[in-house]
Amino acid sequence: MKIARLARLNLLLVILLIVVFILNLAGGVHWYAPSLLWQSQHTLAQQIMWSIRLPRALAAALVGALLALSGQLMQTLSKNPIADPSILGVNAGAMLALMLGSVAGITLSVINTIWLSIVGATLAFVVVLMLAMTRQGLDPLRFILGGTVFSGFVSCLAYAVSLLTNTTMQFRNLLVGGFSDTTFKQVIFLVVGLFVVTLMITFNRKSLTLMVFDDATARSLGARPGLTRAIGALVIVISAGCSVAVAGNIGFVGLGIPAIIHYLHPDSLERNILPNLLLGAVFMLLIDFVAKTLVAPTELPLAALSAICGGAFLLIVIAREGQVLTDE
Amino acid sequence: MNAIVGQELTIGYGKKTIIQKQSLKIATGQITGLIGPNGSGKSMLLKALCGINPIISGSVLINEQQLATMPNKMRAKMIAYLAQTPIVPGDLTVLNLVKMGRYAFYHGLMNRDESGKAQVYQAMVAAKVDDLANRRIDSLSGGQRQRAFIAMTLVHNSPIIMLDEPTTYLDLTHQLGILNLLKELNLTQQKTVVLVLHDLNQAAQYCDQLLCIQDGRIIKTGTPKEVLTASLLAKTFQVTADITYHSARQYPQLQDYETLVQS
Repeated sequence: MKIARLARLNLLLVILLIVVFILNLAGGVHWYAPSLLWQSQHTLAQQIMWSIRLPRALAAALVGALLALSGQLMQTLSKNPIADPSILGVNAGAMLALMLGSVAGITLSVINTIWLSIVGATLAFVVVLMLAMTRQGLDPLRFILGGTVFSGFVSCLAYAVSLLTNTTMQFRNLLVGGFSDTTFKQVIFLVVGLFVVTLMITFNRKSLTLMVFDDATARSLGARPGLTRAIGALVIVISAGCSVAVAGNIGFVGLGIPAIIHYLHPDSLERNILPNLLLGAVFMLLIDFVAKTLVAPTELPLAALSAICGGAFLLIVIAREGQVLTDE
Repeated sequence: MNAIVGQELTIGYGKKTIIQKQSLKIATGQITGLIGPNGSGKSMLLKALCGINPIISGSVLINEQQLATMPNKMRAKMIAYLAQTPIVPGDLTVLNLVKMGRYAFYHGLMNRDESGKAQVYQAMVAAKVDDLANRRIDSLSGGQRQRAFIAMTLVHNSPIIMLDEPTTYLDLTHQLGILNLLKELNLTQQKTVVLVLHDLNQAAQYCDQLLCIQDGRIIKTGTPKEVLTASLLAKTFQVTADITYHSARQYPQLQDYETLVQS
C-alpha cells in the first residue's frame, strides 16, 4: 500500500515535469509552440527553440534536481531539517571561487567554471564541517550556526570582490541566479554531474539512510559513518558546484523541496530520492518560466523569485503542519 | 565458554587514558552487569567491547575472533549495541526503525535481504512492539520507545546484546518491564546480555555476573553475592546498607542504605 502511494507520487511528478517542461519551452518574450523543434522549415523561431530555449529548459530541470538532492543529503547528514547548501555557505564558496578565479585571470570556460565552483564548494564545506565537528561527531547546532555565519561572510567577500573589480555586470547571472545564457555544453556537464551524483547516492542509499542516527548507533548497525559522511559531502559539493557554475547561487530549492517531499511522504532518505529529484526539476522549470514571462522582456532575478515563491510555500506548509499537530 | 574476552585493555580519548590495562571475561549465555560510580568508565568499556570506540592497546575477542580485524557488518551480526540516548528522527515509524537494524544483512547491488521481513516481524513480537509498528517514535512513551530500540537491536539476530543504561529515564514499572524482557530473551534465545546498570538491587536481581568498575579499574567480578559486599559498597559507592539475601535465589538486596559522604 505504501509502495503504491510512492509510485503514485512519482507518476504525478513525472507528468508535472512534462507539463512544466513544455510550458518552459513555450514561454518567453514570445510564445512559440514546442512543435517548432521538429518542423522541417528553418525559421528564426526554430533556431531560438533549439539553441536557446531547449538548453535553458534542460539546464533548469537538471539544476533543480541537483539542488534538491544536495539539500536532502545535507539535511540527513546534519540531522537538521533547515540545512541547505545555500544556507551553509557551500554555494557562496563556489560563487567566490568563480569570482576569484576570474579576477586571477582564469578564462571562465564551461569546464573551468565547473571545476572552480566544485573546488570552492569543497573548501567552504570543509571549513563548515570543521567548525561543527566534535568528539561525538557532527554537532547539528554548531553546523547550522557556523555555516550560516560563514555563508554570510563568504557572500560578503564575493560581493566585495565583484564591486572592487567592477565586475558586477559580468557576474550578474552568478549573483542573482538565472539560466539566460545556458548552452548545450553546460547541459552536458550537468547531465554528467547528475548521473554521477545519482549513482553515488543509489549505491550508498542504505548507509546514507542510517546517517539519521548518532554515530555510535550507526556504527553498531555495521555502518561506517565517517566514510558515508565523506561520500555524502562529495555528492553535496558536486551538486552545488555544478549548479552554481551554471545558474549562480539559487536558494530555497535545496531547503524547501526536500521539506515538501518529506511533508507529502514522510519516509526514509532512500525512498524519497526520486520524488525529491523530480520535484526539484519541476520547481526550477516553473520558477524559470515565471522569471522569463511575468514581466517580459525583462527577466526577473531567479534567486529572489525562488526565495519568494518557495519561502511562501514553505511557510504555508509549516503553518498547516502546526495546525495538524494542534488538532491531534 | 566466554562470549567476550578483553585482554590488557587500555581505552581513552585522544591521549587521555581512562581505562588502563584491564582484562575481563564475559561468559556466554549469561547476563552481565557493569556497575560502578558515575564517570568510572563503564560506558566507555562497553563501547570498546562492542567495537564502537577504538581501543588504544590490548585486544578484544568475540567468540574467539579478534574484534579489531572484524569487518563492520560481521561485527554487527555478532554484537548488537543500544546507546543510552540514541538520536533518532521523531517521525520515523517503529517498523522503519526496526528495518534499519537489518543494515548488516543487505547484500548485492539491490540490497537484498531475503529473511529480513520475517526477522523484523519476529523482533517486534519479541520486544512486544508489533502492535506499535506504524506509530511514530515521538508519539511513544519512554518504555515503548526503549522497547522499539530493543527490537532494533534484536533484528541483528546477534548472539550478544550490549545496552548502556537501558532503564534510565523510565518509571519503575517500565524499568522492570525492560529488565524482564532482557531476562526472557536471555532464557528463550540464549542471548548473552551485557548492560550498564545504576540500580544495584536490580543489578543483583537480574544479572548472573557483575563487574564493578571504579576509576577505570575493574575492582571486582563475580556473582552478585560475591561482588555486592558491605566493604565494596563502602569503598566504591560510599554507601552503607543492610544486605539481605533472597530466600530462594540468594541474590543480595540492599536495605536502608545511607550515604557516607556529607554533602
